[in-house]
Amino acid sequence: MNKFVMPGDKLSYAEEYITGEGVYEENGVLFAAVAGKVVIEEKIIKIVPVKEIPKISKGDVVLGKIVDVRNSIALVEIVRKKGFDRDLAHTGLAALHISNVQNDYIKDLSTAVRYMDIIKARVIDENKLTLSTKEADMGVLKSICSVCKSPMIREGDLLKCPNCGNVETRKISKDYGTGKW
Amino acid sequence: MEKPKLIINGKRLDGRDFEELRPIKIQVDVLKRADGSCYLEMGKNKIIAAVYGPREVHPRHLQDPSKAVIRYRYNMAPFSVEERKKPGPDRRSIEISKVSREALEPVIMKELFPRSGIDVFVEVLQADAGTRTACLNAASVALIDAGVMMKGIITSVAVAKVDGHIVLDPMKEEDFYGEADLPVAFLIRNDKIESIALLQMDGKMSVDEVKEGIKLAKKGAMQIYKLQREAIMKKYMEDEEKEEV
Repeated sequence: MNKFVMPGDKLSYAEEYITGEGVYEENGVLFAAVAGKVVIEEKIIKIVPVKEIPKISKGDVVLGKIVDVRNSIALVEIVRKKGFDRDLAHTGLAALHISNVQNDYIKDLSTAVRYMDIIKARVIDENKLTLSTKEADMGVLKSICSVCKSPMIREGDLLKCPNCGNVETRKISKDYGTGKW
Repeated sequence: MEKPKLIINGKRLDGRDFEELRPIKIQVDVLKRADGSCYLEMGKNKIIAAVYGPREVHPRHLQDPSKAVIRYRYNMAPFSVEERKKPGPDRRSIEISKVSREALEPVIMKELFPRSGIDVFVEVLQADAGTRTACLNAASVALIDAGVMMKGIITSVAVAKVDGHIVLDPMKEEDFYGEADLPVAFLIRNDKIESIALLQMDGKMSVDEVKEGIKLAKKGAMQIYKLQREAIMKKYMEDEEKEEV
């Protein structure tokens, strides 16, 4: 049974363990910074918190909004991490490079993603914040028509605007239009 | 109205001793959409606190590249007092928000979330003196519930001078007709009071009376600290039982 601690509870001394998540050191003493259970693994002392604050790391599935599309890169604002119903701390803009959009060649990035698209992607580098949408369920989840800005409906491999009839291409996710991700 | 007798036969109007707190009830995680929340009753005070974040700060120019910004909003509901309170921030609530924020700021480990913001909202649903202290207690529990990294727990209580006596946790009549009111907040770490996070005073007290008051407040704060811990513990135990089922 692991001990349940609260912020400010003394855990141990700095000589004994390496500080992990939710633990801080002051004057050689280790204190808890969050409420949760103490876990000690290989000399690292950490706390499994009651409620976790989401942090972006490699391999995470994230939900994002396209804020800019350049020649070979799309800039994405990361909105949420899968498994969390909670806002993220400031992350900065993530990058989706043309080579990470899908497995086949694409000539123009704007045939795959466009401004205001909502995408599901996987993080490939947590420091550079690069994303990939190569998997089948990754890609555009929701998109608006570039002509009239109304939400587009999926028709096979294409997206069609129900308002003006405009047809566009995207790297469409398996989950397009379902509301699930 | 004439000032009533506040102390009768060595007891206070509600039958309490000088060193006795009002009954306290704390409930954790009461709001589903908030990242952390708390409902607190301290006598007739009813407070609800919600914490959001760390999250993106808007407007952007308020962001701090080296640490998180803390925003604290103390607000009284129009129906929280007998005479309808005009809704919205006023001089009093802006000041309380500021001092309460400054009490919490050094405890929260802000440097872990650069460019982000942590928002704390506390609403007074029913007021009966000592709302700022009750709000700080609720905010502190809500912050722990949100999983925000903190160096310790903030616990707050007021003392007052009533009919020449120093009493703990004044209620409305004592606050209104008493000679002085002294709200204090402490940073408690490892079951020990480390420092004073907030100290205000309304009215007049001598140096010795202030010293005695702080001593009394420390006693009260330790009791509240235990209740705060119990409330979080209780919620956690419930979670664990659910997981087992």
